[in-house]
Amino acid sequence: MTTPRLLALRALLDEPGRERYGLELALDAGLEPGTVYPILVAFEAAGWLVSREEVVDVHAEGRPRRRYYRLTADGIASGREAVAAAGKRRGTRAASRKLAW
Amino acid sequence: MVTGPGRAALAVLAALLPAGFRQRQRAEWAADLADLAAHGTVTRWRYLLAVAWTLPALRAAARATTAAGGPSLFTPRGFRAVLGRPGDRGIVVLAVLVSMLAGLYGAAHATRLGWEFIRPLPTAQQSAELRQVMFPGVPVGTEPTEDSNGFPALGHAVAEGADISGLVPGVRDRLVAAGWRIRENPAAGKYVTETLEFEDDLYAVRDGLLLYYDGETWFTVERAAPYWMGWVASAGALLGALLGWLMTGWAGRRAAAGSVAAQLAGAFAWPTVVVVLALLYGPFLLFFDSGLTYAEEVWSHLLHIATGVANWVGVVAATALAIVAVLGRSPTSQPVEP
Repeated sequence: MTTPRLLALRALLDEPGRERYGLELALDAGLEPGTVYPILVAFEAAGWLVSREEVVDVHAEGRPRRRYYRLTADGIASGREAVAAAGKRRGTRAASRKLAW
Repeated sequence: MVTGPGRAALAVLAALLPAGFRQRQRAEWAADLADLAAHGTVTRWRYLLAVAWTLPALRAAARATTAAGGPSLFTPRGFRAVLGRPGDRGIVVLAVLVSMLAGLYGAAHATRLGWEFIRPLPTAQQSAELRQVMFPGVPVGTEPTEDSNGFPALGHAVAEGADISGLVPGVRDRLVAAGWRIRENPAAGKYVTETLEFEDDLYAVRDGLLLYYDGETWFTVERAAPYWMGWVASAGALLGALLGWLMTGWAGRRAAAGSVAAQLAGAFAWPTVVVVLALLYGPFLLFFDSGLTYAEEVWSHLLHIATGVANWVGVVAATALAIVAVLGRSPTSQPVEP
């Protein structure tokens, strides 16, 4: 899994039940705003996220409706596994570097 | 709300997404831009740049949602995977070499195309004026000739028997007075073994024309590359490099590693790119001492590539791609998800 995906996943797992829109999540994850959507679409397609369009009056808000994303139960379980696996790999690499030196 | 150029940029970006996904994503981008309005124009354009940068990934993710079997979040990524060989570093090297070669050909053919639009040779009137500048009062004949790249040029020769000994020392000054810029010849003043004479020729440039005077009774006028030729060649190089990369990626994805198609195509591609790259890029690294500037030597080299025998490389590339097209898609081929 790529680093941006892991960052987004970690941010989502910090508050698994919370709904967030794309820009909000990008800022929480420390990603460049605008780069988060390929990640969200991939996660949603994999069943890790569900999304819904907010119900607001666009004229009153002065902006288009936002789409909010939330982790599914499967997303929480699989996401935690993926983050743990990535941490383990990083630990292994760090250990091997240590031994090499 | 998003207005003006930002709105147009969003429309263009959204148009590149799959139809069923377009409206949804456009609304999300527009909402983000509305949020970022308070942060200024630079922030909003930075956002759009980031969106454009990740658009291929978003497009692939949106398309994968409808693909059979659904997407995989653990698909190998990076150059090697995109080129169809997740475990092979060689494919990246090959793609880079092919891109360099294709970029060079792109630059060469763009230069050749651009040459069709550069300033024409002097008219008869302009040529007559130039003859008077060079050798006032002396009959000088004009005849069509070719420059070193095979393009039409104008040759001028002093009539046989005419005495120009008193005019030769003033050629340089008269050219300068007529608006020509004398370009110092690095070879000037050198003793030339072949002719047992000192080199005292000169080059002069004006309005996209290059004048060469041999120091005696002959001078030529050729067309020179204008300032925009660099942009044309650069655009051609980028386009060629992109095509080279895409072609290598297509071949890598289509022909499975170790398949007959991959081995045959590789047998054509590897020696060609290595040898031809060395042959074609080599001259750019050499020091030229011909009196032409380095830029002029580059244009000349590019024009020779575009018109010369090196075009057989295209035949080799077409053969390698044809092998992949015909023999690819073996049963063991695995399409790589983007």
